[in-house]
Amino acid sequence: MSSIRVIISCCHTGPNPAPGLGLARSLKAGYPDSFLVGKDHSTQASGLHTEFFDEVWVARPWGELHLVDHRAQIIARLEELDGYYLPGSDLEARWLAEESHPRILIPGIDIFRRTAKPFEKVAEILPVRVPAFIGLDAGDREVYNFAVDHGWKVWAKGPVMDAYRVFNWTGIQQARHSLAACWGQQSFFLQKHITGTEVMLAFAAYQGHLLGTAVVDKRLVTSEGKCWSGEITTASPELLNAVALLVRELHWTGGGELELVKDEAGILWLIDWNYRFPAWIHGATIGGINLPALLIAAASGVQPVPPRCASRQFTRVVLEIPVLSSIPLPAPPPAARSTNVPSKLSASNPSGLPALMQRLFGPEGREATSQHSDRPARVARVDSAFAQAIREHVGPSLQTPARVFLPKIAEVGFRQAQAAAAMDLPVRLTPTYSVKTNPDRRLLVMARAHGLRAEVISTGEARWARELGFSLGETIYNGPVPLNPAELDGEELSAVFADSLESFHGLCDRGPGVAKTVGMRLNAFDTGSRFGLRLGSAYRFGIVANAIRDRLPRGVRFGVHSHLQSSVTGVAEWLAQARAFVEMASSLEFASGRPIQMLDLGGGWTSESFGPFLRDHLPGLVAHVHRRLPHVEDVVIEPGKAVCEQSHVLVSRILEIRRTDWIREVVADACLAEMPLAGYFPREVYLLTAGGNLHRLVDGFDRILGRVCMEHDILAGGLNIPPDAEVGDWLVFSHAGAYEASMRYTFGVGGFHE
Amino acid sequence: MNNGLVMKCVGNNGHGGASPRAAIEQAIVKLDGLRPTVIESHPGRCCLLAREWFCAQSRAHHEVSGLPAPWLRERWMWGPQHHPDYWCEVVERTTIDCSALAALTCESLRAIGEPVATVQMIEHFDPSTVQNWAHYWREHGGAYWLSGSTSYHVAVAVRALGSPGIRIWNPTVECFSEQRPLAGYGSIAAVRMLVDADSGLAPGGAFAWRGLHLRANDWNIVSL
Repeated sequence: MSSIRVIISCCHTGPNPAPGLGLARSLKAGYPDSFLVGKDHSTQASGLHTEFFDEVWVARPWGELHLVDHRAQIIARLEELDGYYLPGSDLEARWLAEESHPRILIPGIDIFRRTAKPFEKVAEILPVRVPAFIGLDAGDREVYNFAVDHGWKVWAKGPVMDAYRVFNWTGIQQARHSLAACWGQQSFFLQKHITGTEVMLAFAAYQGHLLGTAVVDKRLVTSEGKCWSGEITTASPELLNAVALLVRELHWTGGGELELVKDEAGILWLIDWNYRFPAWIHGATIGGINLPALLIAAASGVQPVPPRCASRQFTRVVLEIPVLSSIPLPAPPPAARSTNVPSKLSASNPSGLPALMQRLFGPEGREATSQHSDRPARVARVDSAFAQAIREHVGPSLQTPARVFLPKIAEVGFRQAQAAAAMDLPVRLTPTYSVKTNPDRRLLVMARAHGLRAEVISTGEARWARELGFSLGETIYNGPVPLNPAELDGEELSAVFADSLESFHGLCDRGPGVAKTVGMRLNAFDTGSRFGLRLGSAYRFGIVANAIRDRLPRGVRFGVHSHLQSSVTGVAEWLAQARAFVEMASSLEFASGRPIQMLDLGGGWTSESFGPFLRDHLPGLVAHVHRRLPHVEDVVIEPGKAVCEQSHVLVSRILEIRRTDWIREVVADACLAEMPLAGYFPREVYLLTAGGNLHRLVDGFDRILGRVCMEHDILAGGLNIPPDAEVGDWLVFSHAGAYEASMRYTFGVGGFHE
Repeated sequence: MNNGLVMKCVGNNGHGGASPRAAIEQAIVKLDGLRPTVIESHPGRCCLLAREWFCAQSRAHHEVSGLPAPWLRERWMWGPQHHPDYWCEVVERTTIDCSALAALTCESLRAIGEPVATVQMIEHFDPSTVQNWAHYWREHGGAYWLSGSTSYHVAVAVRALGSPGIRIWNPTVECFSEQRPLAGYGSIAAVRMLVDADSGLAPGGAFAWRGLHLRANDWNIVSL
């Protein structure tokens, strides 16, 4: 038998292949007479059926194995062969590292701990950066604001593997649920997505000595982002030296892979780190860098055949090969479970590797420590002003569920808007309060007192604002409902923006006197929004420009409006969209010959992002507007929820406390009728006990269920409800003062409130 | 005017028996008279509006994505077209050739203030591919842009960030040409950068590209 004998695990090769087959091909290239054992946990692991393995070993799926016995089997077989073991998955490597063996070529268990995600310690050594991140246990509102700050270009990641791209709060909740199902009570985090070119660096090291590296420049990727073809290149000397330093420091043995992204500025960001060779490893061998052979040579002292560069470029192919008669495929699944499209999981992991993940980290693994009462509740800071306000307003006499107005907190946002209007800007800034967000009389009075104008979407709202002191001359009317001026007694509005060309024609046909400024809402650039005039074709652009030129009455100012929710797009994307809007407006001004005198930028900021936006971005944006549209006299912003979402809290009482297997659920006397957007964005949740203790609830797996019989009536999740919570205690939900208030409805209380 | 499709090489080496360099020189002689597209304007308002819309879209896309060019390929398919081009016509078309696409790319980059120059290219394919293109173009002016196993193509040159050289952006297949092969099927055989005072690039000089120095306004054979 050959002197080189290696057991290679993880041999499935599909759209998301494991490295086993590539390792085997590389070792056969380096050691043509080597004896290779392909090991996997399903006869469906396709690489087992190839000619590169001299023997195959099919173990039971990970979910069925006695793990201690299986480790003993591996070691026994290794000693029998006098060979080496190369695992093909991070998870198996981590499991095996718990009891090291010199012939299992993997890093030591301490390395897994020292290089844990999100890799801050690794980044201290390598010339790379780690994308910004936040723990998913930091508090829902903090996590949400992190995602907004990064424009919802974020990933929810598990502690070792698993990553979900998320685009909204619902996505974060789903990802957290999926991660918890697999990993139990581990630390998860949300990390910023980096846009750029992927750089995948594979390396081999033995006892801290770097043996070689290879970099792949992907040319074609699968729908899962896996490399299908690419070119092998070399790492920069700086990166090479840093990797050498790192493996020396960690005393690394085995293969490894760094997954990096190079951004437009050339900065390298560390995205992932694998503790084994990548699946594309044989591509490097084709390119003349046989890393698996280098590793075996270092461990065995037997020199391989020198690698030959067949081509720097490689591609994968799909081949049909005979199935080995000794390991036939299993029977097909029952018809009821059969689908035309196999699940992603089963397609990528016929060996049931996720089961190993669950056994190591999931509910089974955490069984001994998952007793609810053993889990200490994390103490989150409660703002003292907020605590005082809650204690002032919440007490036994309060009939719940109740929405409670907090005037001192409400005033914060209005003061910010007022201060912004007073800034020294090249163009007048006109903050307007979006009445629809919450038409509460107290808020409108407060808005007016702070110098805001009113922004309305119906004549009903305009009349309501007028009743509360806003003249129509300080009211802006936006569609989509076409304005009927007769409903406003002929009084002139400050501005009216048409949502369609038909509406614009109608306004123009009425001549002067409808509003000082008549304008149009432009469709948010390239977003597919249902609102506004579309300028996506030259033909439409020409029609719109000609309508402005030919139909807008003389003596009436012209304005344009666009609106995107900053909380949905993130501030950076919102700013980019605002600048795109300015460019479209600039060309419309040129083509129509009518100067644009009012520019309405809309709003949609969260209460937390509004202040930083005003301070850090607004002055630059207004200056840009002034440069590109020099006739603009008014820049309008429309803060709605930014100024009022924290003006109210929703107070509810606990009706029941339920214990399930390892989480606690409470049923509240509030429901989606009082908090209709519960699933769309998070709020801070507080528990006020009868004894007067106020806790902010964060960092856990407990949840608050609404009172009605709707599956989706879940008011909050991801909380840790303290053991001293009792039926009758108060639950206080923040951020209940915007659409949560204006869109509330009556449900499940025995009749309609007329 | 290739569409970037990759096909397996068939038949002979595609040079008709001539040496690779001789085949390229032969192609240069044949294709030297081709001029890049200039999009014209009618005297009325139609072309003014069309061009203004195009520039607005270019600037807006640049603000949103940071990239001025990719939206063009999303909007226009590659294929044969009739010449000459007018702004009011080209914005209504769904299919344009590589020369028109390069002209639009130049306009798009100028709209955001980026220096840009047209780059004419001669590319290697094989007789089968060239014959197929000739048939495709039969109804649209014929095979005036094909020679032997080579084809004429138009791209644009932009400044390389962080270095004194240029990069060549191929708007038809949306990639930079720095990683394209210099030998074999689909390789670049020769390039001619057309640099004038409007390009924003210093006219008359030489431009570094892939370790070569390209002479402006002259054919440079780059094939290996």
